[in-house]
Amino acid sequence: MRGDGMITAGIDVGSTTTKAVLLGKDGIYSYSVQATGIDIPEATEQVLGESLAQANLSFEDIAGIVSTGYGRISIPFSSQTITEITCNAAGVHHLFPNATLVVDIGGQDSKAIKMDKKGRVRQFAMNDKCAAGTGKFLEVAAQTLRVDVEELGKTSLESKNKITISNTCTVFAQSEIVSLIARKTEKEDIAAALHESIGSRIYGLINSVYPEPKAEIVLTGGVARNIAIVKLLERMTGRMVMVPENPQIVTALGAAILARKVN
Amino acid sequence: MGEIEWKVSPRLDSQKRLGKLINQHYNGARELEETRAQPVAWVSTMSPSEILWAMDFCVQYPEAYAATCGARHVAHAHCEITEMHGYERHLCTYCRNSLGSTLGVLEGQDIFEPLARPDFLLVTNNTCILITKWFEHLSYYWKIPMVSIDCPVLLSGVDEREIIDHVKDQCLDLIKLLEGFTGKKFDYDRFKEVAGNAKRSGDNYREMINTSKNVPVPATFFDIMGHNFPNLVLRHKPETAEHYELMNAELKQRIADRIVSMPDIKYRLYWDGIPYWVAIRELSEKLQSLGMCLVISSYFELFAFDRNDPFDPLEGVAANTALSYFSRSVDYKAKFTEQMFKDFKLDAGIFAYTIGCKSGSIGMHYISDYVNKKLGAPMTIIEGDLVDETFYNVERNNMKLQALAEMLEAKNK
Repeated sequence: MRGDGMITAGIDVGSTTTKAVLLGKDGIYSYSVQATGIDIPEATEQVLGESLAQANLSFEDIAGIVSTGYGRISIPFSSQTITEITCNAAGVHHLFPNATLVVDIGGQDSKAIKMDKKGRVRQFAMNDKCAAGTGKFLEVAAQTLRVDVEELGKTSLESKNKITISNTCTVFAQSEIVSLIARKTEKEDIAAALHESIGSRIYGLINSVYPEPKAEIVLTGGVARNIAIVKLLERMTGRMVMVPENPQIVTALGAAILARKVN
Repeated sequence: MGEIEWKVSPRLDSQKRLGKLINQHYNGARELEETRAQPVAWVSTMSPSEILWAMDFCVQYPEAYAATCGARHVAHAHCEITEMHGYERHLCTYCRNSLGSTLGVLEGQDIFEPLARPDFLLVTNNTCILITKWFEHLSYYWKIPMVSIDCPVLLSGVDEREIIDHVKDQCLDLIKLLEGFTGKKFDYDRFKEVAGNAKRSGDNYREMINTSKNVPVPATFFDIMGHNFPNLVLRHKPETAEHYELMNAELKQRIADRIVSMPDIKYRLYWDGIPYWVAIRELSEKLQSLGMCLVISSYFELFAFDRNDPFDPLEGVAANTALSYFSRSVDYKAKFTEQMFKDFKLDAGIFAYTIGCKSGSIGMHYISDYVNKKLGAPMTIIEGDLVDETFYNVERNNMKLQALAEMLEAKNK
């Protein structure tokens, strides 16, 4: 066995992507992100296999594995399953030891988490069952606007006229976008309105965990790479927003950290 | 549970007696379909039914029927009938179940064990602001009279005496109307007898709830919740008080014999809201797997008729109706919940936001945060519905419950 028994893995099986992180005593050894698809065991084997290959390690080198995310119970080789709430908080605490407020916007859900200074979860809130306020909402909107989802945030920053998307339901918003396009509304203005719509949902989530007045936000999840969301949350909440270098793997990182304790 | 050995026996003997009481009630009501020997009234939960019982009505509860339909997984079909008649899907699901089953019966459809057809409707707005409109629609479809009793919200500073008198006046109007409706003079001696039985039943019901203060509980929330039914529907009968006396004796014996109904209890939990009848099994199994024992809920207050008085029955029923827990302000409820956490030695709370019951859910966020700040107890708000299973997401709620268990574990480290 290599790694002095200190190597642990965290696997986060989300609704859209599956992530694996290998963690050693010096920090992250490697990570991998892939689409979850319909075969969860296959997706997890692939991300873990790729992470091991990158780090030049084998499965036997891993001392403990924690799985998290919606598909967490489908992973036969994990030592324990822990919710994405606890894992996300652990990951954020590792990266930002003073953080007490996290917003995680994933493919099909969004969460606000209040933590104490030790990284323990104090309160959390999630979006309701509707996909509005999630990455899926932006993905559907980008398709309808024929803009690359990666570019949607930047496009929205070019907006010159404020308009409102009245429906926060993803399906209804899609039909509203179509009617706005038909009325020759600029796509930059539509994109900005979509971001406002998400922002107001997230703002509500943040308030529902009653954060400390001056707490800064750590924004994680795939949507954290969207610069417009970052700016919007800063404007709406009056709080500084910090984004980790790899926001998508923070929950998997937290799972790997917690695997040390399981082990 | 430390060093002490406890035996696990999930089943209460009182369940058999409860089943018998329920069957007798519903079978008796169905016989009236044929004989019409007694008038049938459909009544909302915290109404002064003692007046109707004193006038020899058979009293049925559409809300209790909805709960049964939810637990038997047939409510969704009733709700769909309502939707096919143009009603909005996001209305109260108890209302949709009730209107759907009514419309189904009237149209000759095959409806799950329908309530006996009503002759009269009595509704009180002390649990919900929509319920009067729901009963108004029942009145329209059944073409029968309805009386609505108004109970103002008990905001802090209101004169409770005034509210009780306001309800008392309406009870007197109801009596007068019923005398005209039945052609019989109201029998005050019978009223006293009914109130006496109801008081005995209510006192024993309260004692049953209080046995859950014991650590560990002799029976969980899931074991006890069905026993709400007799004090709601049959409290006018002496056998109901006897049922609770036997139940309490059984619970005390379980405490003495060190018998619990679930193994490996790590945490004692509070439940806020009406149970998700469609998901009782999933919830109880999930909670048990996490070592979380549901102990108590403010929901039980909906069935606690503590103020019956055989010496002044009118005052008793008016006070029960006027001072309903569900008419109280959110501030009152928050403080009451905090006290329950202390009295029942609770570690955490589950707040069951109900998509089909907005008035029951509106204060949950405030109450959970209030108690969390006061006592540091972790809370989670789950989401679902009482009877419409299409609103219930098992995986999402299970994740929130697991996260709650993780919060408790981290807190205790």
